Amino acid sequence: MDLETEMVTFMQPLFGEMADKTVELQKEKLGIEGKELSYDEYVQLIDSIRAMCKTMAGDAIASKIYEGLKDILDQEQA
Amino acid sequence: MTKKDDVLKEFIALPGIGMSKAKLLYKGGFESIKDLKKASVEDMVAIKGVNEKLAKDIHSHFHPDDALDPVIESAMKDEPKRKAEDKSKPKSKAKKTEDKIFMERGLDLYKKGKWGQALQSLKEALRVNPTNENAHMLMGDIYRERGKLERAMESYEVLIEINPKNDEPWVKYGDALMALDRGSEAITCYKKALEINEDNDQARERLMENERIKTYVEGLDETLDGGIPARHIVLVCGRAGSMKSSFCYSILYNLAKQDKMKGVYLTLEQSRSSLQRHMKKLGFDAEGASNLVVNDLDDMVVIDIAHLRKETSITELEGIDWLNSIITQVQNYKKMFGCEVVVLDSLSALYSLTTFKNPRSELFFFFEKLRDLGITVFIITEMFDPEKEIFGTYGVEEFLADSIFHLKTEKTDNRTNLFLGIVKMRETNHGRDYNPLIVDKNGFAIVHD
Repeated sequence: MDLETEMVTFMQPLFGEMADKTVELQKEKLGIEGKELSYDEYVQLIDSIRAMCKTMAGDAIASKIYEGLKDILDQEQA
Repeated sequence: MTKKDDVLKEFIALPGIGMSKAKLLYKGGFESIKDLKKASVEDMVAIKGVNEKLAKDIHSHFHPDDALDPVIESAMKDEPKRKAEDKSKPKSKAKKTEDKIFMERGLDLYKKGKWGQALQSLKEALRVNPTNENAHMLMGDIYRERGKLERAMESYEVLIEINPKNDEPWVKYGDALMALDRGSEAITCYKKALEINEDNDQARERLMENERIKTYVEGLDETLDGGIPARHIVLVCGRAGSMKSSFCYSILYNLAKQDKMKGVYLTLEQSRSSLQRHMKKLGFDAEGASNLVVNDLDDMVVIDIAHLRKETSITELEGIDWLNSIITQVQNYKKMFGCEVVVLDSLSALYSLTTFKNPRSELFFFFEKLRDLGITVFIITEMFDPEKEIFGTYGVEEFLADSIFHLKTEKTDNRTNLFLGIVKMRETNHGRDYNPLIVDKNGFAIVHD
């Protein structure tokens, strides 16, 4: 499973069918769509998803999603 | 009826065996009466949940001649001690044998449907040995079957007193209470049975069947046999401004605060921040409860699907099957947070996202899938027609839901009053009146005339 698929799968419990669309949307917002992302760009993307989760479901869930995504990214990096 | 059902039926006809013990024996490999007949006490004791006493009772039922009276057995273990004991012991042995004979006669008569004679024989057994547990149990069962519930309860009470570690009479005592419409006392009995034996499936099933979710609306739960039956799908209907969201939020808030029950509030319309601001004004905020952090993973989560919708472009939203998406999401929340109660705010907003080909059929499956999740779901529904009392846009919602709360507004002079009516609630004796509903800093309350 590639990194983004893994991230989308992790986000599905909260975002449902909109998980992949959310990732795409945040990439567009950051202007990093349609290309292979660097580690720093992924960190930016995860931060942006955390901000969205905070509005959508509160701090506790935003932190849980952030930590999960960060783990996926760091494991991939390692 | 399956073979298993037949066998279980035969097992429960044996003295001292209720449904949970019958299931344990069946699960343990005894798939017929013949198997049980062949089994040794040790074979039966090897099954978790079957104690030595029960195993011996079963064995002695099939092999009355082999059965060692407990007195003889203990005496054989300690012969010298026996000699020093009171000479009344052999007399006691004789008595026990006599009560067994009466007991077996009673059982035989019971199987033949001769209730009166069976009771007489059991009374004789108890006259000889007042602590014969099987006789008390069978007597209670006969009374219960004959509808003499108070007498049945007396037998079970004696049984509980004789052997407080026996879980079976608690379940039967609970069943008798349930038949007398004393549900909350019955639930205490089932809980007690589970405390004694956590493998008592019957007690667990009864608790599941009779579990209720409190609304914490003052004056309401006592009119609903203690609350809403757990795992119901509840429609909360009303026109704009009838406090549907606040009503549901307060239930979820109080369940989290008082019962530590995990809940998810799913908003498809109003934003999370606006909803929370509003609820704070009504007194439902985190500061109100020291142990509660609303919107934390521990108790209650508010998820703003509306925000997701706003963030996503309309063309991207078109491909989403919202009905199934909501089901999957609720299923995921159950896995993620272990939630037991969900509020969906609102069905009308969900409809605005969905294009139905066959609404009646699609809604049928939507409600069925929600029911299969095994959690209590409150669905907020907007009533648009000011003249008619229609509780769903497609006319099927009210049949598919298990319960319906109607929040009704009535204008008198310059004042709008709020009333609560229970239009429908399965498995519950409820009134049909509309009661005034008041809300203040202490929450919601209904006023009875």
